[in-house]
Amino acid sequence: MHGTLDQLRASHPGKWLLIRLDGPDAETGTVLLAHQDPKTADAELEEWAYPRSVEEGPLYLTYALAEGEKLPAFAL
Amino acid sequence: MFGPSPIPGKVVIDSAAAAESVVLVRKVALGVMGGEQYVDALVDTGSTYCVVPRRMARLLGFNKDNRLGTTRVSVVGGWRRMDRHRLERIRVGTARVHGVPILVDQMGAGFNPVMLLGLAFLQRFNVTIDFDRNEILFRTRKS
Repeated sequence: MHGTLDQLRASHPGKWLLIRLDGPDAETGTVLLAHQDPKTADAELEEWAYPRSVEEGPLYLTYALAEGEKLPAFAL
Repeated sequence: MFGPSPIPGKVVIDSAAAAESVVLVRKVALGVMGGEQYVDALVDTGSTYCVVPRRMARLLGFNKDNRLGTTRVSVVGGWRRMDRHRLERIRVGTARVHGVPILVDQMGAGFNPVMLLGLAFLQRFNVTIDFDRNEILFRTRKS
Protein backbone atom coordinates (compact mmCIF):
# COMPACT_ATOMS: atom_id res chain seq x y z
CA MET A 1 0.00 0.00 0.00
CA HIS A 2 1.29 3.43 -0.97
CA GLY A 3 0.28 6.81 0.44
CA THR A 4 1.14 9.62 2.77
CA LEU A 5 2.45 8.64 6.19
CA ASP A 6 -0.77 9.85 7.83
CA GLN A 7 -2.84 7.77 5.41
CA LEU A 8 -0.74 4.68 6.02
CA ARG A 9 -1.02 4.99 9.81
CA ALA A 10 -4.76 5.59 9.58
CA SER A 11 -5.14 2.42 7.52
CA HIS A 12 -3.31 0.24 10.04
CA PRO A 13 -4.49 1.25 13.54
CA GLY A 14 -2.76 -0.53 16.40
CA LYS A 15 0.05 -1.86 14.22
CA TRP A 16 3.75 -1.37 13.80
CA LEU A 17 4.60 -0.41 10.24
CA LEU A 18 7.79 -0.77 8.27
CA ILE A 19 7.59 1.79 5.48
CA ARG A 20 9.87 2.29 2.50
CA LEU A 21 9.96 6.07 2.07
CA ASP A 22 9.88 7.47 -1.45
CA GLY A 23 13.12 9.26 -0.63
CA PRO A 24 14.95 11.12 2.11
CA ASP A 25 12.54 13.50 3.86
CA ALA A 26 9.60 12.11 1.85
CA GLU A 27 6.21 12.20 3.53
CA THR A 28 4.99 9.37 1.30
CA GLY A 29 5.99 5.74 1.13
CA THR A 30 4.97 2.09 0.77
CA VAL A 31 4.08 -0.24 3.62
CA LEU A 32 6.39 -3.25 3.54
CA LEU A 33 5.16 -4.89 6.73
CA ALA A 34 2.41 -4.35 9.26
CA HIS A 35 2.46 -6.21 12.56
CA GLN A 36 0.64 -5.95 15.84
CA ASP A 37 3.52 -7.44 17.79
CA PRO A 38 6.45 -5.05 18.24
CA LYS A 39 8.90 -7.93 18.58
CA THR A 40 7.81 -9.34 15.22
CA ALA A 41 8.01 -5.92 13.56
CA ASP A 42 11.44 -5.40 15.05
CA ALA A 43 12.61 -8.84 13.92
CA GLU A 44 11.41 -8.23 10.36
CA LEU A 45 13.97 -5.44 10.07
CA GLU A 46 16.53 -8.21 9.62
CA GLU A 47 15.05 -8.89 6.19
CA TRP A 48 15.97 -5.40 5.01
CA ALA A 49 19.63 -5.46 5.67
CA TYR A 50 22.01 -2.59 5.03
CA PRO A 51 23.14 -1.58 2.41
CA ARG A 52 20.23 -2.85 0.34
CA SER A 53 17.97 -0.48 2.27
CA VAL A 54 20.09 2.50 1.31
CA GLU A 55 20.01 1.64 -2.38
CA GLU A 56 16.24 1.26 -2.45
CA GLY A 57 15.37 4.20 -0.22
CA PRO A 58 15.25 4.84 3.50
CA LEU A 59 13.13 2.77 5.88
CA TYR A 60 10.83 4.15 8.51
CA LEU A 61 9.63 2.09 11.45
CA THR A 62 6.57 3.61 13.09
CA TYR A 63 3.59 2.77 15.24
CA ALA A 64 0.02 3.62 14.22
CA LEU A 65 -1.99 4.51 17.29
CA ALA A 66 -5.51 3.15 17.30
CA GLU A 67 -8.26 5.65 18.07
CA GLY A 68 -8.54 6.12 21.82
CA GLU A 69 -5.61 3.78 22.45
CA LYS A 70 -3.80 4.34 25.72
CA LEU A 71 -0.06 3.91 25.54
CA PRO A 72 1.50 1.99 28.39
CA ALA A 73 3.33 3.93 31.05
CA PHE A 74 7.00 3.88 30.17
CA ALA A 75 10.20 3.96 32.16
CA LEU A 76 13.73 2.81 31.53
CA MET B 1 34.51 18.40 20.64
CA PHE B 2 31.12 18.49 18.90
CA GLY B 3 31.54 19.49 15.21
CA PRO B 4 29.01 21.74 13.46
CA SER B 5 26.64 23.79 15.61
CA PRO B 6 23.19 22.37 16.28
CA ILE B 7 20.48 23.71 13.99
CA PRO B 8 17.44 24.95 15.92
CA GLY B 9 13.92 24.04 14.90
CA LYS B 10 10.70 22.47 16.05
CA VAL B 11 8.75 19.25 15.85
CA VAL B 12 5.13 18.24 16.30
CA ILE B 13 4.26 15.98 19.24
CA ASP B 14 1.91 13.17 18.38
CA SER B 15 -1.29 14.61 19.84
CA ALA B 16 -2.87 11.26 20.70
CA ALA B 17 0.24 10.15 22.56
CA ALA B 18 0.62 13.53 24.24
CA ALA B 19 -2.78 13.08 25.81
CA GLU B 20 -1.35 10.07 27.61
CA SER B 21 1.87 9.52 29.50
CA VAL B 22 4.60 9.91 26.88
CA VAL B 23 5.93 12.56 24.51
CA LEU B 24 6.17 10.83 21.14
CA VAL B 25 7.68 12.47 18.06
CA ARG B 26 7.47 10.96 14.59
CA LYS B 27 10.00 10.23 11.90
CA VAL B 28 13.27 11.06 13.58
CA ALA B 29 16.10 10.79 11.05
CA LEU B 30 19.19 8.84 12.11
CA GLY B 31 22.00 9.74 9.74
CA VAL B 32 25.25 8.02 8.86
CA MET B 33 27.64 8.71 5.98
CA GLY B 34 25.72 6.37 3.66
CA GLY B 35 22.22 7.68 4.28
CA GLU B 36 19.40 7.90 6.81
CA GLN B 37 16.88 5.64 8.49
CA TYR B 38 13.80 6.84 10.31
CA VAL B 39 12.14 5.84 13.55
CA ASP B 40 9.69 7.26 16.11
CA ALA B 41 11.14 8.55 19.37
CA LEU B 42 10.10 9.00 22.97
CA VAL B 43 11.42 12.24 24.45
CA ASP B 44 13.08 11.36 27.74
CA THR B 45 14.80 14.04 29.80
CA GLY B 46 15.60 11.33 32.33
CA SER B 47 17.87 9.55 29.89
CA THR B 48 21.46 10.76 29.56
CA TYR B 49 21.88 9.18 26.14
CA CYS B 50 19.87 8.66 23.00
CA VAL B 51 19.13 4.94 22.79
CA VAL B 52 18.61 3.36 19.37
CA PRO B 53 16.92 -0.04 18.89
CA ARG B 54 19.39 -2.80 18.14
CA ARG B 55 18.07 -3.79 14.72
CA MET B 56 17.74 -0.21 13.55
CA ALA B 57 21.35 0.30 14.61
CA ARG B 58 22.31 -2.73 12.53
CA LEU B 59 20.61 -1.20 9.48
CA LEU B 60 22.77 1.87 10.00
CA GLY B 61 25.87 -0.31 9.93
CA PHE B 62 26.57 -0.42 13.67
CA ASN B 63 27.58 -3.68 15.30
CA LYS B 64 29.84 -4.99 18.04
CA ASP B 65 32.87 -4.91 15.75
CA ASN B 66 32.74 -1.15 15.14
CA ARG B 67 31.42 0.04 18.49
CA LEU B 68 33.31 2.82 20.20
CA GLY B 69 33.02 1.07 23.54
CA THR B 70 30.41 0.08 26.06
CA THR B 71 28.69 2.11 28.73
CA ARG B 72 27.19 0.84 31.95
CA VAL B 73 23.75 2.35 32.35
CA SER B 74 21.45 2.44 35.34
CA VAL B 75 17.97 1.24 34.38
CA VAL B 76 14.88 0.24 36.27
CA GLY B 77 15.75 -2.97 38.06
CA GLY B 78 19.53 -2.68 37.90
CA TRP B 79 22.33 -2.03 35.43
CA ARG B 80 22.84 -2.78 31.76
CA ARG B 81 25.92 -2.56 29.59
CA MET B 82 25.17 -1.06 26.17
CA ASP B 83 27.24 -0.62 23.02
CA ARG B 84 28.26 2.96 22.29
CA HIS B 85 28.37 4.43 18.76
CA ARG B 86 28.27 7.86 17.17
CA LEU B 87 25.69 9.01 14.63
CA GLU B 88 26.67 11.51 11.97
CA ARG B 89 23.45 13.39 12.70
CA ILE B 90 20.05 13.17 14.34
CA ARG B 91 17.24 15.27 12.89
CA VAL B 92 14.04 15.82 14.84
CA GLY B 93 11.54 17.83 12.82
CA THR B 94 13.61 20.77 11.60
CA ALA B 95 16.16 20.59 14.44
CA ARG B 96 19.44 18.85 13.82
CA VAL B 97 22.52 17.86 15.80
CA HIS B 98 25.72 16.44 14.32
CA GLY B 99 27.99 13.90 15.95
CA VAL B 100 25.61 12.50 18.54
CA PRO B 101 26.78 9.67 20.81
CA ILE B 102 24.19 6.91 21.04
CA LEU B 103 23.73 3.70 22.95
CA VAL B 104 22.22 0.62 21.37
CA ASP B 105 19.63 -1.37 23.26
CA GLN B 106 15.96 -2.31 23.32
CA MET B 107 13.26 -0.29 25.04
CA GLY B 108 11.04 -2.99 26.47
CA ALA B 109 7.42 -2.55 27.63
CA GLY B 110 6.15 -3.33 24.14
CA PHE B 111 8.09 -0.49 22.57
CA ASN B 112 11.20 -2.29 21.34
CA PRO B 113 11.36 -0.52 17.96
CA VAL B 114 11.16 3.02 19.37
CA MET B 115 14.22 5.13 20.16
CA LEU B 116 14.77 7.24 23.25
CA LEU B 117 15.63 10.85 22.60
CA GLY B 118 17.75 11.72 25.60
CA LEU B 119 19.88 14.57 26.86
CA ALA B 120 22.72 13.91 24.39
CA PHE B 121 20.41 15.55 21.84
CA LEU B 122 18.15 17.70 24.04
CA GLN B 123 20.95 19.47 25.92
CA ARG B 124 22.28 20.98 22.72
CA PHE B 125 19.26 23.31 22.75
CA ASN B 126 17.00 25.30 25.02
CA VAL B 127 14.02 22.99 24.80
CA THR B 128 10.41 24.04 25.33
CA ILE B 129 7.67 21.44 25.32
CA ASP B 130 4.40 23.21 24.50
CA PHE B 131 1.55 20.86 25.32
CA ASP B 132 -1.07 23.43 24.25
CA ARG B 133 0.35 23.54 20.71
CA ASN B 134 1.59 19.95 20.71
CA GLU B 135 5.08 20.95 19.66
CA ILE B 136 8.63 21.06 20.92
CA LEU B 137 10.80 24.09 20.25
CA PHE B 138 14.55 23.59 20.03
CA ARG B 139 16.21 26.98 20.41
CA THR B 140 19.87 27.96 20.30
CA ARG B 141 21.63 27.95 23.66
CA LYS B 142 23.53 31.02 24.79
CA SER B 143 26.39 28.98 26.20
